Amino acid sequence: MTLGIRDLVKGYGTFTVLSGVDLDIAPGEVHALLGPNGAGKSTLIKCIGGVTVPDSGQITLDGVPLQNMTPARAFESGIATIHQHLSLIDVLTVTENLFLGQESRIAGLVDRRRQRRVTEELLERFGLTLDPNTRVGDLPVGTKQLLEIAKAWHRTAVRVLILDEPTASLSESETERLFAEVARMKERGVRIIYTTHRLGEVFRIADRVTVLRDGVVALSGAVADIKPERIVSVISGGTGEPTPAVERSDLGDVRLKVTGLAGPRFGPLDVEVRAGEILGLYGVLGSGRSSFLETLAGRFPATSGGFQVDGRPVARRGGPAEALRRGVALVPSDRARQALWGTRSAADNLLLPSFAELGRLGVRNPGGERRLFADTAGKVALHPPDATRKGAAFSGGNQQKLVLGRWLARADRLAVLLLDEPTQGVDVGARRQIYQVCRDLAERGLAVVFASSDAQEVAQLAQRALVMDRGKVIAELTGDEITEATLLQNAHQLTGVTGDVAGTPNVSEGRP
Amino acid sequence: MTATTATTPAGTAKGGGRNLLDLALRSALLIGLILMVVFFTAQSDLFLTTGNIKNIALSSAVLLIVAVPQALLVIMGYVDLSVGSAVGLAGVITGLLIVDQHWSWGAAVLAGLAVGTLGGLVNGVLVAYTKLSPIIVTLGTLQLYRGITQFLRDDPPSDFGQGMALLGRGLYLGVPVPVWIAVLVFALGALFLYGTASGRHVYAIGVNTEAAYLSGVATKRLPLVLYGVIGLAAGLGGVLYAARLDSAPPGTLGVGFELEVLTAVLLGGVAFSGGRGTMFGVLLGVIFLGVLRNGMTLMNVPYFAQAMATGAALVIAAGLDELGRRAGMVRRVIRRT
Repeated sequence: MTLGIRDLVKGYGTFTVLSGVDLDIAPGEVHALLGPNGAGKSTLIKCIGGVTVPDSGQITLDGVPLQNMTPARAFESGIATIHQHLSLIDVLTVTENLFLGQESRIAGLVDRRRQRRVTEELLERFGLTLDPNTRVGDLPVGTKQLLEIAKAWHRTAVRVLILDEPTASLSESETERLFAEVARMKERGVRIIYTTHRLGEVFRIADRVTVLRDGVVALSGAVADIKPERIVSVISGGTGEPTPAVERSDLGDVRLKVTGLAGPRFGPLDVEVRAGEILGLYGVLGSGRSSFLETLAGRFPATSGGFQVDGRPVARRGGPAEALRRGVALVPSDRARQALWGTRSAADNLLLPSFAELGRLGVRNPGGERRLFADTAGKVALHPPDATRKGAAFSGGNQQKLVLGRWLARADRLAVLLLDEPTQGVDVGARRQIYQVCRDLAERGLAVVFASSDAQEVAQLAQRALVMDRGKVIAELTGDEITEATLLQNAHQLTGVTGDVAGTPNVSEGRP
Repeated sequence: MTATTATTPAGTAKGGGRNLLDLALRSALLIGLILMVVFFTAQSDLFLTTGNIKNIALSSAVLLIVAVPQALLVIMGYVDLSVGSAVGLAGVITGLLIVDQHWSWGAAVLAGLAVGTLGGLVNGVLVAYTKLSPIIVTLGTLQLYRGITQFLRDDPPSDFGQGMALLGRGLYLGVPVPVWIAVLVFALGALFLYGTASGRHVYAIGVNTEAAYLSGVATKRLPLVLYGVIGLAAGLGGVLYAARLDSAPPGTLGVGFELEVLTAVLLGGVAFSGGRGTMFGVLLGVIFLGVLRNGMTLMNVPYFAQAMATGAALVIAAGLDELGRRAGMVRRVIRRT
């Protein structure tokens, strides 16, 4: 009577994501699913939840094979997935969300009284004391998450609950409440699959753990039998390859000096980055690394503190234009939303910030543009190097080269290059070229700062690494100290969940 | 073999040209215009004469003057619905300054242009520096500016004298002055969109505002400036209309003009959702509309039928454009796999 997964295989094109995964989860078991980025965790979860159809292999629930799955069918069979991006609608009330699309009716009108009664019962069962007429947008994120679970509970007989990095955006007290709910679900015999980047949590709530690496099960067993160090070493692939050694004495003057900077979800931070240095920020989702970089780039105004570039302060409310004037440029993490003009040509995508500087009095300089495009496309190895091809028509890796090339093309005017998840959705070949561009830019005297949730990437690229969690720097590593293993240890072992184990969560409601 | 086509640098562009249907769909408006000219020429002896072509050009001139900046706004993801009333306000103020205040025509024209620009900047500040929707703001000022116009004067000022007559009806090298001005505005618009860095920023804002902002583009100042420019253009349009009519009726000058401008811009293939459009398309849209109106008037088609034909043309053009892009998309996908 388990959720059984047998020899699951899934590939995209020639690239195999899952190559034969076996997994068994018994009723009332909390099963932690771990692994580095790209190990296949998301794909496995999508296969179970019916979002993705596996190429081969079988998934059975209580002995019944699940076939021709769609998200709707999976949900009907009792498999509920709680994604990081919740499906609740902010402008509707708690009740309206719970009943959305399945409203109780009397004579064609919504039966509000019945809906309210059912909602109150449900909220009580989940220990949530809140008014059913509260707008969901006014609730803190932890409560929304519990509500999402309640919604699933209301709509189907939940037999499998999949929680995809549920604690990434939760505060410590919210995490405790979630864990209490997980324990209650467990008592009801629900099978719980739980992914996280915080290893400490695994030892708090999980019964069994499975580590995926390169699409296969690299480690699986009862949590009680496995030491944390072993999990870390399996996640990191057992290797601690050293970074290319760079003499610290090569480094030039301080180019970026951050003093007491605080912004949305991070800080206060003090950081100095020198000319020629590549600094890696390592941390899981929600560690504040992205908002730190975006604040430096002018996307958000700092709430306190500030920073200097080459000794000159950068105005707090100047926006990205001011940051760029001072020589700070950002390669953002969400390419499609923040960086790419999909329907515009490669030339527009690569040269947009350079058009004015190439021309005179705002009038463009076609010859100069052609030369700069050819030159930059060559440096980043853009493929195909076609200036008229539309941005969206390039592969992920080449789109990223367009975005990176945008700043490479005017590197002379830059002092600090910030990169947020520089190789997300990028193939291996392009990844190496992107690293090379970063190293070249550092060699030219720029201060390079990148953020990544991929320990391997930090180990390969960074000369110095800051490990971040919940908006703070919790460890600093330099040179040979930076390995996947040390990064993971520092990020997880002692700091995954710092809350008191003993404290019973006090469940109450209200705005934060 | 399929792989080589996909990686040929100019593969998509050449592929599009090779396919006749694709080309036809993409130039549907141009083909429609040619067919229309052939049809009207066959129907009426008066259609293809120098005098009538001059008529079409004169009646399209003001439309083009305002359609050029309107297209820039729409490509950027904004819109100005108040231009009809800005035309009225600028025309009436110019007229009453000449007639009631005895200003020289030159000074009055400058005042009219200034009023238009000011009206545009009001829109620009409200739209660019608050989170108010451009449609709501300019729908509001459409009525506000019309109200002010009618408050200023009930009956139309008229009889503006020699200078205005020259501006509205004078010829230079056989071509009416407003047409020369429209040609100049079009040339400036094309130079701006294709020849300047800011022109690239127009597309960048329209396609992905967040990416433009993070790349240092002035995502607020550029819309503000272009709202000022469309106000100036509307002011110019008002002055030219008043000059041509030698009268500026507060209740009717420019009424419905904003929708005419928008129709021409959208007919010309500018996407209402922003990010897409060309200056050539806008020119084509304006000429198409002008020829359609003129030809039907020559054929004594009643006004209601003209309106129906214009509406049908807009919807059909949008449909064909969508079809063309879908066909192109399908073909690219097929070629890639």
